[in-house]
Amino acid sequence: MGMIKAKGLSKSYDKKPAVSDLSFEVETGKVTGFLGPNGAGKSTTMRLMLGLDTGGGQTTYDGKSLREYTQPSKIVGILLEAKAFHPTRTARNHLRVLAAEGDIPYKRVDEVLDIVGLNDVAKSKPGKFSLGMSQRLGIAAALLGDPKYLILDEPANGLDPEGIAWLRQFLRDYAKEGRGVLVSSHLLSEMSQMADNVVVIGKGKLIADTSINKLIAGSSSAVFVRTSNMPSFEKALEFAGLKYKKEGAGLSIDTAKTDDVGKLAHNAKVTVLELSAQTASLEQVFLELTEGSEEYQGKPEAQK
Amino acid sequence: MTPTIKAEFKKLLTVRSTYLTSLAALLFVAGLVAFYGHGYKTAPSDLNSLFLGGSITPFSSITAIAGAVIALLLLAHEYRYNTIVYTLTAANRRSKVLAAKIITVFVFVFVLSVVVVSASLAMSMAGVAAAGHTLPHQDINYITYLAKAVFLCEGYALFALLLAALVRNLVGALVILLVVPNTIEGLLSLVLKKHSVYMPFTALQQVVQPPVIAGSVPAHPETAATGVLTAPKGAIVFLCYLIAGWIITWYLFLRRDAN
Repeated sequence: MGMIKAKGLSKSYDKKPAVSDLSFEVETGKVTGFLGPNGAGKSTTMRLMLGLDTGGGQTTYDGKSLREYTQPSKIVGILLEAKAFHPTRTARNHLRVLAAEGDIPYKRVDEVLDIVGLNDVAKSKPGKFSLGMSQRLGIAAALLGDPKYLILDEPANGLDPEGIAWLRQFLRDYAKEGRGVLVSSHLLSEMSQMADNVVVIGKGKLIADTSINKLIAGSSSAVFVRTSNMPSFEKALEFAGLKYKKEGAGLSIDTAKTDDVGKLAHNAKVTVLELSAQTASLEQVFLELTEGSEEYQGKPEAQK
Repeated sequence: MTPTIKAEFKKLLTVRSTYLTSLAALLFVAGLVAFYGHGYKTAPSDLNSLFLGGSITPFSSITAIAGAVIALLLLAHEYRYNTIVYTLTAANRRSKVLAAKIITVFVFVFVLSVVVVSASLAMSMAGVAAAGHTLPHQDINYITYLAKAVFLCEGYALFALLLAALVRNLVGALVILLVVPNTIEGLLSLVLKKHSVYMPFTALQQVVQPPVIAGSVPAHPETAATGVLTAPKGAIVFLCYLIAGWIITWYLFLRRDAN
């Protein structure tokens, strides 16, 4: 089974590290999400993987560097920037130029335009395309070589809900065909539905490299409970040494399991009215993981 | 390498700036400069045997600017619109990209300069005829004339391409292209005086100095007076600059980040 292996990637700008000794893998058959706060080094990492930026480390595609392939376009398709096209060159000609560069037959151009739904505007100049249409053109460009791997930087940006749903399904199907997809996005709800694995980075360093399920399961979880006699139950929790906080009419108990909370209520002789496990969302996990590694932070209104 | 060259031609021929600039050069040089200025409006007393030979400087210089702009845009547009990331990812060697661009520019500018300069010569003759004058026998070797004109155009175009690769900014490269040959070298010539002919574009201009009849007033005395290098020497001096510039540019193109 092939894969993309990034090993020891590093890059500095003016002695300030943008990416530091970053290693991870992108497996075939899976969609790998690439997450990190703004300025975490996601785009730089992708550029390093493609040999566009000079820096430390190496990236191999099925054991070989991209330079060792005679037709790199058939190994990896890229979308790094939606608006990367000449504004007055028609969409079809833009793709034909890229097809020529990759030694790909021109008939493939119409195929990919059909896949992304841009057939009707094939002869239009993309300078006036919306962001969503530009993204679709970028995705078409990435698909031109029918590559084994896709590296996509924020491909869902600007897409409408229908477009996002299409992209999600398309990438999942693409991976199911035994290919690998590395996709960055800040739409965490989207990522949780799309990706099998996630690589999380912060300040250019690896924070997590695991499956989404493991990531969420391994995060701090809580149990919500509402009983007939809250004061008595609070005393029981304190006696058991469990931390809790009030949440509406009930309590949220950190790092607890529903079974244990149920037993505790039984022992305290209070009736349980509501009991549920609170699983963290990918967004909560992401915020937990990247806390303190944001390059740019806004202030809450109250602190201004 | 062939796919990369094919792609470069596709890039060149699928943007309107290529056609607009070429057409503008053809209309301006062949129409205005050649037919009207160096044909129809020429006084009968200026119609000597070197009349056509003397047209090489204006015809080729203006064509060279057009070719240089097209060459510059071929690469500068890639940086401006970030298509360079596709170009560099599709090619497994960056050198292939640069070599393909040089070949593409060379071929295109060759065709452009031959077409525009040949058309200009024909339009110049047509202008003289339209004014009702008779052109005397011309002492001109058309092959040498065209070769010199093509050399000037290629020189400018390859310099423009070098600038685009080095500066990686459309406006910056364009300003340097238009300012260095005339303004900067013009100012430096005040300091360098007779050695100014060793500056790159002054040397290149020596290649297209109009011929002069021995003992007569040159057709364009203002330019002929500064020419102390022969055409081959001028060409060699310019080539030395161009090759040195390309060695540095090539090295940086391989070493720097994509954009």
